[in-house]
Amino acid sequence: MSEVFNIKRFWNYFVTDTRNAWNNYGISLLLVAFMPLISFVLVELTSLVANGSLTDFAMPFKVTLAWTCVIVVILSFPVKHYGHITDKRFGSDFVLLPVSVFEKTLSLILVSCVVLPLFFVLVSGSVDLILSTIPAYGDSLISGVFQLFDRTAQEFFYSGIEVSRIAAVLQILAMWTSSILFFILGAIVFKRGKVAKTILVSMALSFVVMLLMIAITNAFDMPSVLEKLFAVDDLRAFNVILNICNFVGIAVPMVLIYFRLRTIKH
Amino acid sequence: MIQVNNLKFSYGKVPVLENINLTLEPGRIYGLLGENGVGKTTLLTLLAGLKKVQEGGIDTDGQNPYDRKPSFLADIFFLQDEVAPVNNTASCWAASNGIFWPNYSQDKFLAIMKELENDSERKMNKMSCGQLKKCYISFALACGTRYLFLDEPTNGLDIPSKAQFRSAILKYTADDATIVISTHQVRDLENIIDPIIILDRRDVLLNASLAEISSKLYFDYGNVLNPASIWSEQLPGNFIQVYQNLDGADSKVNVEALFNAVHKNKELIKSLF
Repeated sequence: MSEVFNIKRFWNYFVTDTRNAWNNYGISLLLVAFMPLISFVLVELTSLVANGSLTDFAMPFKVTLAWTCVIVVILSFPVKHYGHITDKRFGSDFVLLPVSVFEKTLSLILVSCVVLPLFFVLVSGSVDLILSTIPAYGDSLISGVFQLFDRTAQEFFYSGIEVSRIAAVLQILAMWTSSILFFILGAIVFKRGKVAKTILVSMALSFVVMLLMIAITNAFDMPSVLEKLFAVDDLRAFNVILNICNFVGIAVPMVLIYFRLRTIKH
Repeated sequence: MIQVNNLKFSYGKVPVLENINLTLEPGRIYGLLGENGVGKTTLLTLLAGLKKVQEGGIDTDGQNPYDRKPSFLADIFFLQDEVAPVNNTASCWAASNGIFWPNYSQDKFLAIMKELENDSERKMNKMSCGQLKKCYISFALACGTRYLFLDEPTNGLDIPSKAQFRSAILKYTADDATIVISTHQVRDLENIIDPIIILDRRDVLLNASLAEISSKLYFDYGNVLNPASIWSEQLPGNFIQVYQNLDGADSKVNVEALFNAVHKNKELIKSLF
């Protein structure tokens, strides 16, 4: 049996990890996923009491609510499900479970970057679609998001250019992945103040990257370089830059998470 | 077999273990004794691979514990002094975790839980400290590992449970298992631990079987205080005293008296053993 990866052992661990994620965070996730319903009921109840009639549930509010829910999940799930790894009692049990570090890391990535968003989108999306049958609720969030995306893409890349909606979805998934992995890294590195310290680190990193970009821009006359780059094929150039950023944003926390799990001591 | 060679470990600049040499053989239940802060828990965590050795090494059947290979981890179980109150029922938690240990038996877990008079359908985070400890003890024994490290296993157990624990250890562990029990409660485990390892600050003061100890030290429960005793304590009506067994007489080793005698006469004990 391989010490690094065994499919049966990995599958058993992945199922256990998913079940534990449900035990630790399931109710909270359901609460957040049902926020469209909860907020719609609250808004309409308030409107009935105040005006005696129902009010339109505006799309900007739905989009803001959705982003807020996503941020809440990204900030809270890592601490709730993986934060215990820094605790001596829970962390020792985690380290001594006869599963390889690679398998533990892979399961962590699959649970937080595939299972969790899939469940959240399915539940929240279903609630949103059902609510969209109520006239006061208006269009579903998904249709509203795509309309917003089309408008933004056309303004950014000149009218007449079609930008793939699938690419937009993949970009949102990439942003989710890099954000949640970053907060998971913070949850398994810091013993206390996990969320606050992770945010502070990200602010510090952003500041450092900004200083680096200023230095590079001044050193290499970046405006003319970018002008030449975008003149060839602006969409392709944008894609390349975006993909490099996504790759770095996902790969770096993944590797750091692996090495943290490999070397954690209790 | 576990071989510990010239082991050194410190917390920052504070040395805890220095030049520790031990051989832990199969089929033995080792009692690991020592004062507070001498490094008993540290040694167990190093044996389990939870910490990295700073100098020297630990060899467990040719493996380095800190590598934490699944094959090594499947052969050991480390029961901590403080255990985690998981948000799950004991039987579900045991069933979902036990699959990672090849010799684990859910039936054995439930049987031991029943013997320890513990409810396996109760949620672990709703259990008392003692109940939670019994849950983990049941799981540790049900895993059927070759190496079992127990850190203060009787802490939090009531008096009947301590007797049940002693019985379970003897009943549910394999004959060739290596068990290391770290404890302050020597009276709880006196009748099952053999050999005895006594750690001092940065040293192994004693590592000997009960037979070896009783061949070199005599434990006297008489009324007359022997002037040659290396340690003594007055009990109601008599004394418990320890002195060198120059006549080769038989006596029952009193582990608590042994511990006190060893600590009061470190150089003598090291020269004897």
